[in-house]
Amino acid sequence: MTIQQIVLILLWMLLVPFLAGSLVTAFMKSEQDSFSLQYLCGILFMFMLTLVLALPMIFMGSKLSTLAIIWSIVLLVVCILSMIVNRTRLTRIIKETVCSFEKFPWYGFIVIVLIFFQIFMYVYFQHIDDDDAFFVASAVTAVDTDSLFHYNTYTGLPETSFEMRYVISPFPMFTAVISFLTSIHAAILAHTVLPVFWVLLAYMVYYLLGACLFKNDVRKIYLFLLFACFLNIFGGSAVYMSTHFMLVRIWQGKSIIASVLIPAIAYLAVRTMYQKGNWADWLALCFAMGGAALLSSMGIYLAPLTLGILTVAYLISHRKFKVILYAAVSCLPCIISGIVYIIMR
Amino acid sequence: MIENTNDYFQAGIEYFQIYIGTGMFVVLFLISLLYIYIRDSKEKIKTDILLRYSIIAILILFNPLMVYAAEEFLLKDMVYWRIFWIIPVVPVIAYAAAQAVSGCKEKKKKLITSIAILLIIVYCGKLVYNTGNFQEADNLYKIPQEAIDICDIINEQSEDGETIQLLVTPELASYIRQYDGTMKMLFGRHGRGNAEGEIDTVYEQLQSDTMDLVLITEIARDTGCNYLILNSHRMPQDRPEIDSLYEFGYMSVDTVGEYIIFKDIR
Repeated sequence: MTIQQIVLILLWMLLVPFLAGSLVTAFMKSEQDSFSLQYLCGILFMFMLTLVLALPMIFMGSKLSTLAIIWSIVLLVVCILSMIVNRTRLTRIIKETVCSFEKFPWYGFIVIVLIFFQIFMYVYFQHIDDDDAFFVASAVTAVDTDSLFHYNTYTGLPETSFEMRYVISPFPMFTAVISFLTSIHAAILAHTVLPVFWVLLAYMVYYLLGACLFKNDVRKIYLFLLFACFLNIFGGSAVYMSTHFMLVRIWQGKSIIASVLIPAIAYLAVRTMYQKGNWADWLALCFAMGGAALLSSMGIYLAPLTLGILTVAYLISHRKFKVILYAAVSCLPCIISGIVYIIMR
Repeated sequence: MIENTNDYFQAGIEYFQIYIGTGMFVVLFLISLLYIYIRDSKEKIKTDILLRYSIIAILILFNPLMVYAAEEFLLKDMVYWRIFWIIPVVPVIAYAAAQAVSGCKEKKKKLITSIAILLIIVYCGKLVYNTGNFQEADNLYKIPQEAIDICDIINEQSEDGETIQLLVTPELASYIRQYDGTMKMLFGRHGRGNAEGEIDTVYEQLQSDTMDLVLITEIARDTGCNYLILNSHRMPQDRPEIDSLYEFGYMSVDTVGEYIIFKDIR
């Protein structure tokens, strides 16, 4: 990889999500200044944007380059808006992030070493997975042919009909767009580069969840992370558990749902329901639903099921039935994707 | 209509058994839920999102109606176990463990409790990074080097603008298009693709230890394949069989490991 490619990947997978997320969090009422929250909201926004643009463009027969250009323009506009809206807040976020390390417990270093160990394993080692014949090859095909699912992923021959189960959740097109914008081969991106960001994101979500559960007690949060790291690393006794998917093939959409999206939905549900979040928190939850619909067709029902159960658990203790409406509205991306699937299959 | 609810309940249990593997983490999960119930039952957020959520999720996921709905309408390929991902096994155990350590007053006790819990996790689990899952990477693409070398050789051999249509031995079929998305193949992973007819025959032949090269080359010619990648270990060793490739206009142009690349020379 060249220096230019490294700079571009840091731009699209670090700076852009941070700025895009900051625009969403700017309108939140409380606990909105951590780097992890900006990053999570930014990635969820990027997922949602990919879903909203890619789905109609696939059916319209558009090119990948068109999708990538529109996608990047929208994100750049969002980033500029974010810099304007957050001109005083961005320094505060950076300060808060730096300050959070002041209370850093000694075992926090073990957590960081363990997280980087998991990242190192993804970068240095390989896991060959047959499912990549679809997930990675569709991204490679999109880049090499400048198309969006126009060609059969397995054979490369012109597609006669869409395989709706896969097309309805076009996560490979996210990988393809990033590949197009960074000039990094989609297979390298999926197998070696993006796992770095997905693993970091997964632990950022654990951090946020821990902050909610332990009321920002940093010592307890890092203990929580320490045990989470061990559970994931030693989660190999069950190959179908989310722990296994997280550390073996996180580049596949379904694995990101299991390791990032479901905990993220739980975290955002706590913000919206228990911490009296405002519309911006619900919007972030809506983006998470869009992300789930983008990542895998199972996300279309798994994400609403998760939110539905969280809502029922909330209603048992609070009886504020208004949240049912908000939760239903935030599930709209999944509902619409489901309807499109039923109509088009 | 559900004809036998017991069958679907049983199916739910079987999927759960597939999901939990050795089941040791589930034991830890249940102990953690009990701990949270005893320790934090007055704290609404924790009780709701860890305890109540888990119990409701378990009740729903084992409900025969849910198994029926998922199998009939949502999941067509027997992957109901994926739905169990919504059970927060890791957050619940990690939370209970962190609370247990934090509950100790002395530093020494905290350290001993932490180490004890970590040892329990190690004992109950199995390292993800075993040789079955991971191996040292051949390249940054993380696909077999043979697939990359074969694509590079074919690209060198082909003329500008030439459509490359491959007949690839099944063990490489999953990887070629992960490297080069412009190449066309007669079939992909597990013989999948949008081509029909003779493909099943050739797919079976290519997996056979006694390949019928005459049949394979006939089909390759009929379907317009201009490159064949065959596994030399499965090829018949007698000359007339191999010569049949030349008769059909395919000439060996290079070898990568155990694979021979044949090119259409007509």
